[in-house]
Amino acid sequence: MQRNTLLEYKNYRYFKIASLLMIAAVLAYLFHQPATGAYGGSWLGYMFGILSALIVVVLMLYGIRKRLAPIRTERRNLLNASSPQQDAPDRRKHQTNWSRHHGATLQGWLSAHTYLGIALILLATLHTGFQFGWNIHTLAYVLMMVVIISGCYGIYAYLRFPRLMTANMDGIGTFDAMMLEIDELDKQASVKSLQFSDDICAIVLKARQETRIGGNFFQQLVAYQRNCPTTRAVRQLQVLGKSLKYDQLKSFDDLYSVMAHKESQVGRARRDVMYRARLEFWLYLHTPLSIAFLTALIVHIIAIFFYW
Amino acid sequence: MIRCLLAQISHNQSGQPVRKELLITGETIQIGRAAGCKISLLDHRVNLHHAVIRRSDEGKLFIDAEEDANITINGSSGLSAEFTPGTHVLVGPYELIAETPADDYDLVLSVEMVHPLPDDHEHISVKQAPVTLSGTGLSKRRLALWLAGAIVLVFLILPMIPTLSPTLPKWVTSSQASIKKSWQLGEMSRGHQLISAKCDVCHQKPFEAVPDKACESCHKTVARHIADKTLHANAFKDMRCGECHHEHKGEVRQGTQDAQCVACHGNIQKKNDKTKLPNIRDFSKEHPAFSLTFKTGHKDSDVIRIPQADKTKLVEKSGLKFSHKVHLDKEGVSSPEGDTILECRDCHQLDAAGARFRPISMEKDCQQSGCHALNFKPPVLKRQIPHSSEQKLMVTLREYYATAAISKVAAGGKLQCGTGVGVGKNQLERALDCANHNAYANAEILFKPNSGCGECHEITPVADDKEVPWKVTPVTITGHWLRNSHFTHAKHSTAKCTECHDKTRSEKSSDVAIPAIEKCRECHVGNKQVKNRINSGCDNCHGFHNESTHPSSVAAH
Repeated sequence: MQRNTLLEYKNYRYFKIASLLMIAAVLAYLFHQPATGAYGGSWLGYMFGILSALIVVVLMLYGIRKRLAPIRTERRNLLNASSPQQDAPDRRKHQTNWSRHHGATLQGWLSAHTYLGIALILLATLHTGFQFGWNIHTLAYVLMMVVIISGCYGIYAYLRFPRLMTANMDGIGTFDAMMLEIDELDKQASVKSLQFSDDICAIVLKARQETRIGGNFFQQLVAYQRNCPTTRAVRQLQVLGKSLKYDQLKSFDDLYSVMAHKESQVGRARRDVMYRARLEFWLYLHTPLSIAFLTALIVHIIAIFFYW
Repeated sequence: MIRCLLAQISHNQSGQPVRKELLITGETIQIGRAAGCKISLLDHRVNLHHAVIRRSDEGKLFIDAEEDANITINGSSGLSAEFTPGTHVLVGPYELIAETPADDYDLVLSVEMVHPLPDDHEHISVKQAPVTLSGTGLSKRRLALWLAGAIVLVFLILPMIPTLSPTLPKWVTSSQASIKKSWQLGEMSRGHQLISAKCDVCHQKPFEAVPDKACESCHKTVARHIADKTLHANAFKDMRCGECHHEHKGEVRQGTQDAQCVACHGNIQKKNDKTKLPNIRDFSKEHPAFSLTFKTGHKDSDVIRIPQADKTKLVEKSGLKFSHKVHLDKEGVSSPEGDTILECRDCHQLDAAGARFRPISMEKDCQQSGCHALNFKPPVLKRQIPHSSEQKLMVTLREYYATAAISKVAAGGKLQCGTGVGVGKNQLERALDCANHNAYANAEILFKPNSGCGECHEITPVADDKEVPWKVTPVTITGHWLRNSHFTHAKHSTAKCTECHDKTRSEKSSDVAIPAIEKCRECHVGNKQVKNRINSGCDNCHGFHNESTHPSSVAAH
């Protein structure tokens, strides 16, 4: 139950914190009327700015925490391996202490990361006082928004695609297993096609050699090959099969069913690639742009105080 | 009949060639994938019927490609070739080599698969395209570093170069201007656009707020809010100009906002128990009635302020006698050119700033159509007694009548003076006495309490001054009644003068006709929006800094 763990973590703890922050911020913004109109340099504007910057630090810490977790696990495993006399209950105790000392679990961090990130949309927008321009300050804001919006997509993907992937695999263990099966079907089709005309042989060979699963960034995202040779082969076999002699039909049916099966497995494999790509591609915006945003944020702060 | 020894070459597990020989006979030898072919090559890349070996009429052996099939003969593609020993022919992935015939064979042919299809699943074609995003070669880390680096370079290092090394050549610093603008929070106000690229004119030290001296280097005449230095320092402490005057906000008017004023003036009596100022929060709700400023002398400080509610004291002591009623009579006022209907603007003309009115001038406004002429006795064509001080006037009269008397004597005429003037004196002395007599007589007429000068001025006799025995009360006309505001008449030109200043029935110049605050409130409201009313903040009427710098105040004097 990913949904429960992530969004409902500790009875919506971070949802409540983020909501309180947002309500307080809106109320403060409405009641505070700076003499020169709302802007980032009023005392409330500075408050929003400082608070937003602190939240950004927390959000960034999640990235560090996430990357450190596997390293720590590895170290812990090494530690455990080097002291075989340590029994199982002790190990569990050690892990609990480790969690306690190093804050919440990764799920907890992600829950906080999600809700505080969403709260940041409001806080940073109020910090701007709705004053935008062609400058580094607005650039930082835009980068932040892209990072947050891509993160929101990430939550959606995280909640949606794993289940679709499991359903798509339909009991097949791994992607590699599926690729091996497709390869096996290719070989079977090749052998079965040899006895038929050159046309049939050629389309089966083309289907074997030119069918593409995966591809570049965008091809992976759409799970589609234009004029897919396997799909075309199946369609052409339907036509060519009609002109065969009676004694060839049995063998042809074998060939056709192999090719049809391959077509469905190719589709399945492509969908698997697509789901994985859609589960990951947002990170190619989220992660680099978060670093770009952090840089722009630092430049924004330097620029503001350099020319105070 | 062709007798052919076919040697099928394959490789064993250790990679050594294994030769398997087979005798084939036939009129022709078919090569292809089909079951009926003598040389059967089972591969997709071989056609069902790919090629044929035949004997020509001359008895030579040839290999011909079948229709739609391609063969490669000795490295180049072709359709037919003589099959002499040593000939290499590629049929699909198979290489056929004609060897030297031995025994009674017509042809010894070796066949070897030279281009096998990859069989290992690591090499299967479907795997050739990347199936993960990381497999496409895109690196999140590299992208992050590039973006961060670009931002630091363009938005941090480049804008800072001129500050870090001010000795850079001009073309470098000027090309920085547009990059530097990326730091600006917004457009500069119009007045500051000239210096928009020179950040350090205002931002003099890095990481230090714009100091007041940066503002004062140009704005040299801006005065304090409170005249008293100590009080000002107490009230504002070390508040900087920039705390009220926010730059980089485009064309928004620079200056204070009501909230800033109200922060002090809203409860000023609590903040300073010695103050005489009332609490003020909003023009509509909490703003005291006006106090009028009366001019009492010629110096700037010669003023008294009287609350408008204190009606009995609202008397202007200008030293003039003037009836607006007479001059604004609907039937007209009599003049040498007949009855003339006057309007306010015939005398009251806006000053250059459009704020108030230029001072009334005797020559331009009272004498322009022959009214209020100051004549000699007897009158002289095209010449009048100048409108000036009593002393200058007497000098003019004496000079005029002396010249007239001497001219008359010289012409042999008879002097016309009162009886007994200059009796027993010589002719020149008589002329002088006569002139003085006439001058005094004319002055007496002019300085009568209710005619001549006395028609407009208050005149008192001065007994101990024999030369000029009259004194005209100095004129002190108040030009700026609401001295702490900067009311602009030009902006109110849609209203008639009499809507605010009801002078049509005023018979005395001491009448004051400055509208009360209620009149203003008919159109103006405070900060709260009201339909068909004008929102007016503090700075619509009041300035934070010294009022004397405002053009309206300048025009008043």
